[in-house]
Amino acid sequence: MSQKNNTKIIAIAVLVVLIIAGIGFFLMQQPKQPQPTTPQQPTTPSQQTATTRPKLVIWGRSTFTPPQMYWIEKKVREWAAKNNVDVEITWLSVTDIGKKLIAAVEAGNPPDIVINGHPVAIFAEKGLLIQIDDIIEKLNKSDIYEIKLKECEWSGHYYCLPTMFEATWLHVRWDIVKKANAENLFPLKTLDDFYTAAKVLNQVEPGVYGVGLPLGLNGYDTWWTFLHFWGGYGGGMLTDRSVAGVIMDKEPYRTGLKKAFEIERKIWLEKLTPPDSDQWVDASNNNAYLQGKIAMTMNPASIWYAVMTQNPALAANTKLFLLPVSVDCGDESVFIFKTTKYPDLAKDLVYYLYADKEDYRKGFCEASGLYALPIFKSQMQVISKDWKAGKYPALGEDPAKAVEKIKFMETAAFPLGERTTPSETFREGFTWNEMIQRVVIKGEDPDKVIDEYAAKLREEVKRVYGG
Amino acid sequence: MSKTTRSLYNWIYVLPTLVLIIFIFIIPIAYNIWLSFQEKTIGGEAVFAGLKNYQRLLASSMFYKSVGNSLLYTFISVTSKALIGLGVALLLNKKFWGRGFLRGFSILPWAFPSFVVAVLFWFNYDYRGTFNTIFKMLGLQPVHWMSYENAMWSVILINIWHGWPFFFMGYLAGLQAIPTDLYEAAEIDGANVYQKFIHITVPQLKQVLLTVMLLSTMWTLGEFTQIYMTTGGGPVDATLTIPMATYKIAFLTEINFPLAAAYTILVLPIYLFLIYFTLKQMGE
Repeated sequence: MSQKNNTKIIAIAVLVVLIIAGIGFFLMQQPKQPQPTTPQQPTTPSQQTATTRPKLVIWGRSTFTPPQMYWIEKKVREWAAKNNVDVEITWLSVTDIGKKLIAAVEAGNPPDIVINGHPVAIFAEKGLLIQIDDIIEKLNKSDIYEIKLKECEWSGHYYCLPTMFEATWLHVRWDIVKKANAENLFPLKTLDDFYTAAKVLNQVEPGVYGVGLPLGLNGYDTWWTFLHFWGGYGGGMLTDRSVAGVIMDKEPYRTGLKKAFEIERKIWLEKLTPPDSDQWVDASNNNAYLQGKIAMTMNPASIWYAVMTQNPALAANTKLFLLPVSVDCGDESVFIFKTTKYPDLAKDLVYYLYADKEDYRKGFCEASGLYALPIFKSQMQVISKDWKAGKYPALGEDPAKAVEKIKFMETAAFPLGERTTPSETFREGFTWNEMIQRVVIKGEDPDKVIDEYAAKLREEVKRVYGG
Repeated sequence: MSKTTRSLYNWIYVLPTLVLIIFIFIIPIAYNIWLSFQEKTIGGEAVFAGLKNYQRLLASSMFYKSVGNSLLYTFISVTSKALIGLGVALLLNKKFWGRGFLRGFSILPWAFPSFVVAVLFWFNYDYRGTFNTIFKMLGLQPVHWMSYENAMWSVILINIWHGWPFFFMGYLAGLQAIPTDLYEAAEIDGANVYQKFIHITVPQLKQVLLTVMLLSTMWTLGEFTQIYMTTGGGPVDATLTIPMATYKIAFLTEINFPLAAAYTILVLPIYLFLIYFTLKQMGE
């Protein structure tokens, strides 16, 4: 090979590599936001051939009650078989799903459908989700609880459908209550009674703490347990989507928040909760109750489900009561990203999940030991009738009455009562947990901490809504 | 072949590596720098924000706390690992029955992946876990290993337990390379054990000592798994180190990628200094 040719080949090779590198660099510079796609031709099962078989990617939030996942899987696969569609279902843990969804959206590659997942407002307020008003109408809008509809409504339209009510119950060891002669304390009349009950039940049996109070940094339970006190004592976060709407540091909301800190701080300092509560994650209070370490704890009925299925002796000694302030933790919803290639199919699947309401009640709600309560009034009435007939003796209250008492939703900014990006961001990011730990565990001055987190919230509101 | 052609040929040979470096190193760093000057919400467009992210970080106590925690965690861990590793290497460099077994056994903690070590210690540190059970048997009060006051020391202990065999292996290899006649000559001159250690072992091991320490310092500074899986950076901010803080800013408390990018740029000098120091050391 001549020297001239060598030089030519080398020069061409260098040039090609540089062009490839340049194109790559240019592509990496392009913003990778999920863009709404123009739907392809409407796909109906009859039009599909083996070569163009559509595929839906589904992410689900795994729950503490496996029958719920079995039911979802069964329904999805049933629908896929009927419609000649491929489905890929990935189950993610409660602590993972939010972060993974955010990362997927940022990478421009979200799933088609999310079932039983969260957050929603973060995506809905950015216009990344498909409107599902028609599905809501088809399911008979008036049969869905208003509070559940509100959870999914932005600017007069619906972008998700909640999968359940997840009422909070106080799980109580009735044998210990009897030993302490404290039957008259239950159901609790005021939030202050929570502290009283914890004190009365503490160490009645050696080694059994009065209450299991989640205080860990990396679990949602810390936040929503605190929400009962924060909201219940008259605190607040946001009144509207503006910087001026941040009210957590203004009176009377500041006093409400300080009272919430105070009750949890007293429980912590007086050792009424296990010493490792400051590391608890979402399953920890469940396990502490199951292992007999605590006399009572707040939780949705997933604990009750575990007690029933794993420890009949403990189930016989357990009673469930509503708290004086009721919080719905069921922010998990079904929603569809606009990036889906098959919006019609995705919507059809979402409708299919709920269309047979009786099947939803039996397969998703009753099979979970009422950890999930139905979002449909008609189905709640069936459960209420069963409760009155004595089917659920451990429940200290009619579930239908219980859901009507719900004042707060876990991811809704209160007193606004709507899901907002900042309220979801602070919940998803465990920012509130950090605030709680600083006062309750570390013992920092509550006023100083409130000022700091109010400033953080204002900054976030400004970042998201401007102004 | 002319000099120019040979030079071009050399370039052709390194070109694939060069392209790889551009794609997996230069472009992401450039993107990270660009991102650190933006402001962005999830799913939204990036908007130029100037130095806002940097100002916000420099004004936050979290930044200083995380850097301080990282330096403390790294300094105590690396120093302890180095001392334990050196001590065990000196012991196991002597000839005695069962030495081979002990050498193999000593490497065991290092053979475990980080997440296994974290899970293992999670059970050990539980309030009713292994350590407190032993304490109870000895008539001692149980310790709240992961409390705000103790959490940092607990994660340091995990890191020491997991990392000291690396030092041990490096030092043992270095010790075995020291010619025995140096010690024999020193003995003839009347040197005692301490003098032999200071004037022969340490200078001969200097290169290995520094290299192993620098590598371990970089790894310890970047340790994420053990802390994430045991304390998650808490309670409060007790174990919030640089990698944990980066993760928290990006995916937790802020869910803010540009701010996380700015944070990594701010802490970059610490790592660059270490890399420079390592390269300089290796060059010498």
